[in-house]
Amino acid sequence: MLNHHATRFLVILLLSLSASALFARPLLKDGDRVLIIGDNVTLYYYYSRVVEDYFALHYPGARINFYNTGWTDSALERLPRLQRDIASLHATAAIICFGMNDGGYAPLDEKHLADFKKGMTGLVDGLKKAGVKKVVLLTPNCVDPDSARLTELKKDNWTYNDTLAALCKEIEKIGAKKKAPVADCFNLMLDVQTRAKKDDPKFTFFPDGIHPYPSGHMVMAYALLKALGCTEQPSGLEIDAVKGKCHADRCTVNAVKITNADITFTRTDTSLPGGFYTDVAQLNRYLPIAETFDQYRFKVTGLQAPFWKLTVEGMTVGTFTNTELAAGINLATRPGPWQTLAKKVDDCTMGEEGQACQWWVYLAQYKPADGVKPAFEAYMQKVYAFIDSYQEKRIHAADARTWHWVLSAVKN
Amino acid sequence: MRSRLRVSLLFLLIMLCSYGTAVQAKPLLKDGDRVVFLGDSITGELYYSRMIVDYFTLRYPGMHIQFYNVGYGGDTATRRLTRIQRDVLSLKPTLVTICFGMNDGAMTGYQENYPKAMAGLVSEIKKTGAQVVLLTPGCVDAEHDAYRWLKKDNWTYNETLEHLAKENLALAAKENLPVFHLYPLMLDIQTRAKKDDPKFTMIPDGIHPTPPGHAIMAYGLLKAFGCSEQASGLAIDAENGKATADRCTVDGLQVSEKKIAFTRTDNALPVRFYPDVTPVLKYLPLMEEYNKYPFRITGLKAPRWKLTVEGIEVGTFTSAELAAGVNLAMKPGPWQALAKRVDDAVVHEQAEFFQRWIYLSQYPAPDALKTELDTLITQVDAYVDQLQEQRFHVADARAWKWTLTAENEQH
Repeated sequence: MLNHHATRFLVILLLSLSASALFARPLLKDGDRVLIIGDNVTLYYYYSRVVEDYFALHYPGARINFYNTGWTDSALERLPRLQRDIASLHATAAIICFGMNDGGYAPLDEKHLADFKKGMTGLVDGLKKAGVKKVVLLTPNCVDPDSARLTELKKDNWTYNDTLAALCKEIEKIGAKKKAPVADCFNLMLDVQTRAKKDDPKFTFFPDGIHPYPSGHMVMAYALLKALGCTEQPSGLEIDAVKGKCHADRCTVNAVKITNADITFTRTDTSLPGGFYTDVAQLNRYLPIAETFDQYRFKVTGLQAPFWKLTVEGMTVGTFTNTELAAGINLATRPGPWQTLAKKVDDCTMGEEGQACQWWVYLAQYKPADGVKPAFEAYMQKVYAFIDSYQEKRIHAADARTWHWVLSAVKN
Repeated sequence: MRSRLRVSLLFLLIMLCSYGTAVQAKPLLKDGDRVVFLGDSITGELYYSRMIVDYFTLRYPGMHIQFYNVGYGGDTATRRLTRIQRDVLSLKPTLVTICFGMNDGAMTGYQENYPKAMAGLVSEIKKTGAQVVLLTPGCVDAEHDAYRWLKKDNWTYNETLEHLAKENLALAAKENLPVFHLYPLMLDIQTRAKKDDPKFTMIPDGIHPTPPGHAIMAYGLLKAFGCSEQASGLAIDAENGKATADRCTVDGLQVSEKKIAFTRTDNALPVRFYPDVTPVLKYLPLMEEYNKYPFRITGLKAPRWKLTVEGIEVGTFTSAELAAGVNLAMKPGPWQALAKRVDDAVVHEQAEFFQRWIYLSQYPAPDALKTELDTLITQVDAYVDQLQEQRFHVADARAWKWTLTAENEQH
């Protein structure tokens, strides 16, 4: 029943509920500087892009800097330069994703296994020793021996996934021993690949059997976000049109006006939807990405008119029945200013990653001789500041997020 | 006869070296030159340039010639033309060698842009007054086609390279440039070596030569530079106790029946072509033309003699061998350790400049940081120049004590 005290003006200021009351906080928080260490799969900047977008949108304003240091190497090969990267980037957290090159693209032998264990243990120990306490281990992606350009990926009854599976067990052991959360991308991706191939034998995550398309990186990001404790959905809002009351979950609602024909208000979310730029719809069939990370709930009860049109910042979001609205709808993938904002955030992420990539691929590979070290380090500090200015752009891309919402009864 | 050997005769002979100028053509490079090696990933492998720098450092000790390798993977003449100022002219070269072609054919067929781009490079470099030397592309080994681009039906990429190499010759003729036609020599050596051993290759991935392949490139460039000088030579007439020195100084010559001793300072040293280039030497007269270190003694009575230089045993020779003259370049001796020290300096210097080139020069600095990057690069260049300066002096200490001792009959 709609409250018949028509044109009653309500000013309801609801402070957002602290998410900590309802959800576990993610591992990363304001002020963290995250070193992403991995091979050339990491260097593709896809899964890191999803994670950066996620934090910029789900925690707007939280100053979390990410530095992708993917390279065509292995855990053991990375070890010698680890301290240099930790120190120069002032890392407080790290994500490690190795295994793909470590296995040698052959059945796992003792040397490769020993090198991998030594490399991974060395990286985790090196990070912890340097005071980087938040370390997450991301298992490598699986491969697709059917789509491989390299014949090294399968032979008789063996595939390179057998080698990767054995390395993943080592990652689990190291994670348990060193108290580092493990994001098991490998088994998750292998499961999705198996099910998707069953539906469509031509399905593949890989153009070359090894390096995933963005859809594969989405699976990596999914596993990583889960391991990072990212269980919070975007903000939600429930309106009881009869009582004229709002229940805001991590959003601020202002200037609420409720009539028989319209409900209007301004809303500022502290956690926004979106950021999953790839074709999530197709993947959602096999992986609950939207259910897990992207529920932007909007619920209105007590509406009398059967059809309602929702407009946000002048953009038509859609037309819904009062029954649908009473049950609650997920607006995350619907048109709305959040789409533009997510695009803006993603553009900032790409801009920042582009700058960071240039730094990493060129400057960071330069090994200054003692004689030029001070001049080089001084220049690097300026480059870091420049990259961080791009990170600031991403962090603040979602600052302007107070939107005018209008729900209007649709006349027949 | 014994009386003719002047026992304990002390000679003080100071013979000014005679550089090759009198008898041989002067090489194109001279003191104070700044040489840039311009090319693709083959140049960027730093092998043929290393051999050239080794050669000049040892053959002309004390001569200040600075070398900069700006080879870049996957590069073409067309692409490099757009970056000529940043990549080449900013180094203020007095001489630039250009070796493009391997990527210019796009691994498929002849590309129209190539002659125009090569002409553009030459024109831009010549405008600064610098000399240009062309090295045509070499060949590929289509039987080791790791990238699966190099052959199709009856066609191989060598057809394209042959065409591109001829464009170099035409350009060189038009612009009056020194050029070395690498392609036919490399292909010929490859063909002959494969005939001897079908498994032979000096290009294991089909495209990038190993050091033996680079030795052919270095040979070609030395030819194009007009280099024809061998290392110093020395001839001694034991009968009259006289020495004839070719670009070396001989001091304190003592000649006796059983011993000849002197101190010798060479002004042109033998070289080592690092890394190992042995597999190609059967087919390439690199050592014959560029690495003779002749030592000749006539009038020796004893049949066998042991040569020691700075305490290192060079070898044992018959008087007949010594009278005919022996080439000591590849024999043990302090020149080997010196060549290694020079090569170490060259490797260090090249690596320092090359990482400056790959990681600093290629960094697309944002506008706000461009000027400071230039300043940083200038500082790094000063450091590289210091290394080059050190290289010039590696061979400063080269006055060696030579002793030739007659071996006992029973030996």
